[in-house]
Amino acid sequence: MRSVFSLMRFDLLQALRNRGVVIWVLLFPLLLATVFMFMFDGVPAGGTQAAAVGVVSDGSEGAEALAGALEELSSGDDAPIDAVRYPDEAAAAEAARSGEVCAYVVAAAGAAPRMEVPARESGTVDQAVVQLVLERSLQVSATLATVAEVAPEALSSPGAAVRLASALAGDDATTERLSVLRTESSEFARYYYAMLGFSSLMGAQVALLLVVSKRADGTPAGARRQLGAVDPVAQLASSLLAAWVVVFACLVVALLYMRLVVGVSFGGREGLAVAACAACALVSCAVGALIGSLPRVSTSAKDVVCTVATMGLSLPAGLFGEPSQRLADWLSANAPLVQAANPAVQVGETFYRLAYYDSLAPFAQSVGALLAISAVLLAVSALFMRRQRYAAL
Amino acid sequence: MEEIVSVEGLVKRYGSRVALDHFDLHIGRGEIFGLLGPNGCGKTTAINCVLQLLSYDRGTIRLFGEEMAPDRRDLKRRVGVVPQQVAVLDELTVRENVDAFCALYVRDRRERARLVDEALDFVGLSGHARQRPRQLSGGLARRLNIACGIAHGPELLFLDEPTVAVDPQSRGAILDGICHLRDAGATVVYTSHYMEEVEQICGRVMIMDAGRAIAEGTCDELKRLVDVGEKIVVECAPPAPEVMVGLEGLPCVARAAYDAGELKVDCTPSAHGLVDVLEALAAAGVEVGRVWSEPPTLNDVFLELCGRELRD
Amino acid sequence: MQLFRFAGRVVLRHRGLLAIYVVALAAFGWLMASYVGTGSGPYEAVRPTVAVIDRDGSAVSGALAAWAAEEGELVELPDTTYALQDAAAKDLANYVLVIPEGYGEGLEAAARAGAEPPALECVVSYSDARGSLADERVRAGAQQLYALLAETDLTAEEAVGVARQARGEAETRLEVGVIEAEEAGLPSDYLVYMQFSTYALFGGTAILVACGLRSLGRDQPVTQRLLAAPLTETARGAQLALACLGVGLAVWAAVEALGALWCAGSLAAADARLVLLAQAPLLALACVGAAFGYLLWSLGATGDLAHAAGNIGSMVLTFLGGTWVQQASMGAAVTAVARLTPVWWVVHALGEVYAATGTTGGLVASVAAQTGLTALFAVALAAAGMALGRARRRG
Repeated sequence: MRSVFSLMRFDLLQALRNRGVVIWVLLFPLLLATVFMFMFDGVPAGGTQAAAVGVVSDGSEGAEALAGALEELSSGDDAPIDAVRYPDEAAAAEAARSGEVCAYVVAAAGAAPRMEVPARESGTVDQAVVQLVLERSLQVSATLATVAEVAPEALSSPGAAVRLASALAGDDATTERLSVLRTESSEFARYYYAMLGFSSLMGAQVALLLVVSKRADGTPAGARRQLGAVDPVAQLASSLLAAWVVVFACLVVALLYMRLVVGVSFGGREGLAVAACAACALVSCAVGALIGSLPRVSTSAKDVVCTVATMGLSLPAGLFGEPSQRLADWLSANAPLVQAANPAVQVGETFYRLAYYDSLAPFAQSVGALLAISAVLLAVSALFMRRQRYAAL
Repeated sequence: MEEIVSVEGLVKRYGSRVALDHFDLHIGRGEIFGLLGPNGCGKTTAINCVLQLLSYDRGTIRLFGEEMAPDRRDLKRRVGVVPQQVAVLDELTVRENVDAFCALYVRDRRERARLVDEALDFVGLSGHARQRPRQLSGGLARRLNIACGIAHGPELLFLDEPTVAVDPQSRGAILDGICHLRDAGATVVYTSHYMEEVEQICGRVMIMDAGRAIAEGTCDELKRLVDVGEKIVVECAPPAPEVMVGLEGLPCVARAAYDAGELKVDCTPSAHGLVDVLEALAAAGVEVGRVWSEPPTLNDVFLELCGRELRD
Repeated sequence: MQLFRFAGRVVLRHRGLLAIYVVALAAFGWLMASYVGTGSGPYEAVRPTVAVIDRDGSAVSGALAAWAAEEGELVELPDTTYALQDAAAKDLANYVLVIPEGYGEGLEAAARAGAEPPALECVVSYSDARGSLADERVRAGAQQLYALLAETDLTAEEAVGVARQARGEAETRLEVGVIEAEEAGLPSDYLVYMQFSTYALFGGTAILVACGLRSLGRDQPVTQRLLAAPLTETARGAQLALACLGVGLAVWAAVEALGALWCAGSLAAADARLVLLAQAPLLALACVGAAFGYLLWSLGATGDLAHAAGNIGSMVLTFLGGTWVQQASMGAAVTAVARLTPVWWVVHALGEVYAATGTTGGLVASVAAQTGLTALFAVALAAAGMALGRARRRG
């Protein structure tokens, strides 16, 4: 053990003086967090904008009533829709095609109102909102008719029908939004947690660098080290330990930056977040060790493998914008095992669960998954390394 | 003499290619042993097998009288290696590099600090201790490469072409240093393509080709082994063809050729041909300018044994 | 043109770089595009995932639960805090409706008394607007029952029956038509692919140039040979610059060919002229990437630095450009800065092409102007590279 610690000093120096490690493992996450911070600064979180809808009316009384009702719904701060009048259907269709409005509504005498949506953007939430607004207005008359049929006496008093109609169109019923999560969630928090997953995998470079520089077939210096009087296992242990220390430190720096500068919440569990970094650093070392131990692969090819693995595994973690988050959701729903075995996803999940659940069980589960992934990767790399003790040079 | 390296019947194959073919090697304590051979003849493979960096198919390897194995760290502790390439870490300074490699052999920090200082002094890099390897010139980098291999004070040192791309001054310093190590009790295995270096420092020499030892002995013994004697060069006008025939008919002459104002005569070994050649020329009336004679060199022996044609 | 060909061959030998920065990045773009879908087809109303926790068990709550389930995909959820947190954190349901105990009675009592009805509880997903839509629907249902109970003498069960019947009437369903375009525009999966390809076109090209031509760098031994060759300085510089441009062209061609191949299904119906028009700003961006690579190469950036500059530059630019987050949702300050970067103009031009259904003179002019603007960035970077390279040589 003593020899491991005495060698670690050199591994630490080697890692910390490596320009690639400093740029990618330490500085890059900070830069990315800063970019995220500025990007999300101006975006209104969670708010829904009014759905713009075109209205085409033939001027008849019934049509004007509907158009007027829609316009009325467009006023106010919380308006669900934003109605825009068009003189004819051709103009409205052009506006819908170019995306100015999500759909348009045609109101004409003697016909039921009709909604038209552009072919390329059909089935959006905005269109469903417009549909709901229109259907509610249609329901008023249907309900009145049903009441007249089922319980005609209810509408016998003068003005009853009008009162019922206005009550049906009212908005007395309310819902109260509960916040069940420990921390106020936002769609942007997900980016930051995914970014920690990305950083952890970037950290695999450190273990890769140090492992390769201990291998006889990795670098000339590695061959020289294998001639040394220290057990190769102890040499590898010092590499992995040093890599773990470096990645852990870099992750903690990123965490502090996100907490203090960017203001990302960890649910008031910063201590546990640091502990989570320890598990993330471990998985990072395991990934690096596995790539470093791949038999019959050149050192430069291993660098390529490491980069591709980092990007490929981060993709389903939802780092690269909305499309990649949709991919992540789809995989979570349809291939949960793939997500469970992906270290980048599990790192993101770890912080996510820490921040959002009262119970620590889900968090512990994610940390457990990280440890299990690390154990498997390290076992496989140990197998590779054992086989290559007599490496063909 | 105590045998430090003993290799017997070593066979190493790469697929169907035989890299070492029943290779034997015996080196005694305190020797500087030269290992020569054309590129790809198996020198580095042999060294890597001895160091247990490579597995081998057959044969026994003993160092210091004991069987060598990959986990014989007690034996590895007594061995130092200076590989052909400059094998150092770019991220560490000169001193840190020597320290890092020395740490693989010596655990005590204070002891190591002393050894590192000594090694840096020895190769003359004390003034560059804080520089990074890429800031060093080619010669200095080679010297750092050596320092990393000798800092822990090995009893057996393998030097694989340590003087490639080094200026004459540095080369002189390196060769002096190797002799110094030998004088201090180290055994050195030295490979090089510079025959004059080997002749200068090696007590015994082995010439390898195609994975086998084809000759072994002191330089003088090797020179006697082959059909090479002294070379006589005579400045003269072009001799008549019959003079050349006459010269080649002399018992001491192996070959004679005239080129660019010089008559070159290769003599058979252990014959003193200068007098005979000059008498033959005088008898033919050839006017002679400057005359000189060169004894055979290791280079001649090497070319004679390994052939003069280009290799792959 | 020997040097040009020679340099091109040197770059193409970096197969690892090509694999990462062209093939892998293009594949990522395609992967994302394939999850976006083509976005066309008959109209289907959005169906949010909905979970209902009915703590009331009355006729009213039963009706509300049934309606919520009808208009969305129902997700089973046990009534525990953990399950609610799990649903919200994992976004298992866009909308969780919690009907409090006594809601049915409370609603009826409030309606009869003309008082404000009790509130329903819900958990709305932050992830998209589908949760809010489900909320609107639930409130509409509750309002309908409240109105019936307030303005008629029907019992709660009768009111539910009436509301259910009214909802079932055919005329309450809105007729929704789809406007078919005369000419087919670009499919949205291809738009996503093109937007994501900006990363490879800028960063990938820059890294390929900077790292691929590294062995021809000024501090490399080969340069000595090049300088000794019988070539004028102008010819040498021009051929190397042309080689950089060639790399940009090759990356652009490869990335877009892969895109056309992978999205061939959805592109089949698209107007080929629009597809071609969209290539113009992308090609200009590849030139910007090549110019940036040339700048890095002139500065003598080695492996790590070139990779870092290429990737970080690409990430920042694509972010500002609107590849990751839509341009429309950016804040004013970010947009102001973003307009000073090339990717913003490229993504903007792509958006215009996407919005169009046919090539018009106005569209072509606008895309050409934005392509030209992007190309100006390339000229500026290349000029900077040339000046810095010259300064370093003198230095």
